[in-house]
Amino acid sequence: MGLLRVLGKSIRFTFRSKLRFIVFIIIFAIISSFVAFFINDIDDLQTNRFIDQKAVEMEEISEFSVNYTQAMSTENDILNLEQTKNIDIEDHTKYLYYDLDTSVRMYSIDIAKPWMSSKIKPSHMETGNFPSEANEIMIPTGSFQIWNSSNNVTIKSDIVVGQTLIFENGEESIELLVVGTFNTNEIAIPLNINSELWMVVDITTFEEMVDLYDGDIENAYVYSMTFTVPGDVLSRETYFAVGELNDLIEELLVNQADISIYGNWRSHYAPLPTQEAIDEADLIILSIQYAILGGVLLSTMFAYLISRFRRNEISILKAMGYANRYVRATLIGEILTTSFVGFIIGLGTVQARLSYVGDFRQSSLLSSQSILVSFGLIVVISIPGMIFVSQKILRISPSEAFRTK
Amino acid sequence: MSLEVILEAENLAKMYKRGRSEVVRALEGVNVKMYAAELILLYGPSGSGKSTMLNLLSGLDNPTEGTIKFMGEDISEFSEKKLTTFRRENVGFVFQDWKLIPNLNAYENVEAPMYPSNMPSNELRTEAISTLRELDLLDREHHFPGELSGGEQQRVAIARAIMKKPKIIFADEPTGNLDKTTGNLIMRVLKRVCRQGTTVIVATHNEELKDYADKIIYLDDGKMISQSQ
Ligand SMILES: Nc1ncnc2c1ncn2[C@@H]1O[C@H](COP(=O)(O)OP(=O)(O)OP(=O)(O)O)[C@@H](O)[C@H]1O
Ligand SMILES: [Mg+2]
Repeated sequence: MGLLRVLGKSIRFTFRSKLRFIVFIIIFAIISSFVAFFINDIDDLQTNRFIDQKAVEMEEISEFSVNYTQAMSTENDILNLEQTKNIDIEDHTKYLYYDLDTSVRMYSIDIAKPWMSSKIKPSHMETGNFPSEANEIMIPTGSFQIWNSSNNVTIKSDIVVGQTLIFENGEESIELLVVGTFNTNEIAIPLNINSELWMVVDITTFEEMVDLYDGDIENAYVYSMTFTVPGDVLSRETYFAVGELNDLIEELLVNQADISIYGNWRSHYAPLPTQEAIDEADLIILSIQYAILGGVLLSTMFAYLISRFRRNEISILKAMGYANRYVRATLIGEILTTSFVGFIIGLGTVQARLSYVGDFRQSSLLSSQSILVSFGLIVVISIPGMIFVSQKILRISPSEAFRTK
Repeated sequence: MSLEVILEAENLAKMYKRGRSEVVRALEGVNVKMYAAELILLYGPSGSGKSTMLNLLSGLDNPTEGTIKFMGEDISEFSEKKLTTFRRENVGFVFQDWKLIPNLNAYENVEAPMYPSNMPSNELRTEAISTLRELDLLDREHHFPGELSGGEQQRVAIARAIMKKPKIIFADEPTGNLDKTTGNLIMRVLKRVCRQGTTVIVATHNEELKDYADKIIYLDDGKMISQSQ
């Protein structure tokens, strides 16, 4: 309790040492804005440009739906390329759809691999979140429900984020929570969303739903498949490997002449990024390293300076009978307050800049993940300084208080 | 005067190493007994070892030789942790240059020694306010040290020292930075604190403070020359 009071008071008193506070807040704000800015860049790189580039995607050609059995045959042949053509495939996923009814269609995703499909992925969200639990689903923006009563009264109501949809069949039921809406323009398959309800659900729930209505997963269709190659998304080798895999798949598709067995597919992969894009990525990573290094240096310097500025005060506190941990709490209170306020200001600056540049669209906001990662880094950056301070105060003697300036 | 012995030093000595081989005998062969509610003056010229003696008696520094007994317990044997507890529970300090914490106002400076304690904040406030009232500082409660006169700052420092009701107060040249009138005021305050039961030990080279003393210990060149009642 005493320790908490000391910490609380020191946080309050930090705001009093105006000049020191402001100077260091500015320093911390600059470091944090650099860190947050670069982390955000990395996040964008991952999400919008790079992950797709590790993968070859196969799509059904729109006039010919590919059924589950056909997709399995093609998938097996592609996976066989690992042996016959000596190429590595790191991961693969099939994306299914299934009509529960003439007006309710489910699409599958794999919530463990949100970036594996270029069609339905987190950056295509319009509102809410990408599903992260098996019972969470997404719907296209503007989806609605229609009820028809026996007297021809029709009620049409929007389905909104946060709404629970309950699917019942006899005794059994499955509850699904709508957590987000996405942009349908990104989906190539033409569907009439004015008369149909689409739901994007995780593959495990997809299978449960098919079971619920006594269906068979073999009656599902496959709208796309993704195969990724091993390697670092930032390395040029990876793009060559993707290109090679795509060539082999195209060759295979030519050989699979009988589309009644294999389905009718088209394969593609994202174009190679230019050397400039790769250089840019390298530069961002280098910048983060420098920002962290600079941050560690500056925060250690800050810790050193406050233990100097407050040396006198530390000896007074010790003479008054403050144990080391209470003295430490007062200094750490100051470091935490300063770095936290600096972090918030830095973040605000980056946010303001992004919003200004990005025309206030949601995609231009810092993602909560970037914020968390940046905050984690700022905490890590402050640790050496805190350790330094803890060591330093052990060596300050309370008898120094008696020495007159 | 009560006869309870608060502090007793036997054969106390402190040596400092200066450079490689030179040894400074800052204090040697000191034997004293200090009783409850006594105002003791450590009197001597500059460099005679007054501050050194205060440091030893208050547990801020360890003696090279000798023992210091606080109510029968030998504090020279204490670990650093036990010394911190000893200081927290029994000792208050008053310094020549006040040593108030500049970012804290008068009221907070008085409260600060008790922040680590488990005393509820409202009790702490009541206690601090009554201490400030005792020292006639209530109207200065919200002033920061920079906004107070030297005498006022020293009274805040005394309030801070007596806040935790210590057994002993150590004051090193408490009037050293003050004019004569204000210095006398401070001494009267210390005398009053002493009458309420606290032992007050004042180190000074100012002869005029002798009038306030119950006992005077004369120091010269690290040695105790005489003691007068
Ligand atoms: N940390 C130290 N290291 C070395 N020598 C010291 C140290 N502290 C004090 N001394 C020496 O010990 C002697 C006594 O010093 P002390 O500070 O106790 O004197 P004082 O009586 O308080 O003097 P003043 O009236 O000037 O404050 C002096 O010669 C001083 O130089
Ligand atoms: Mg001195």
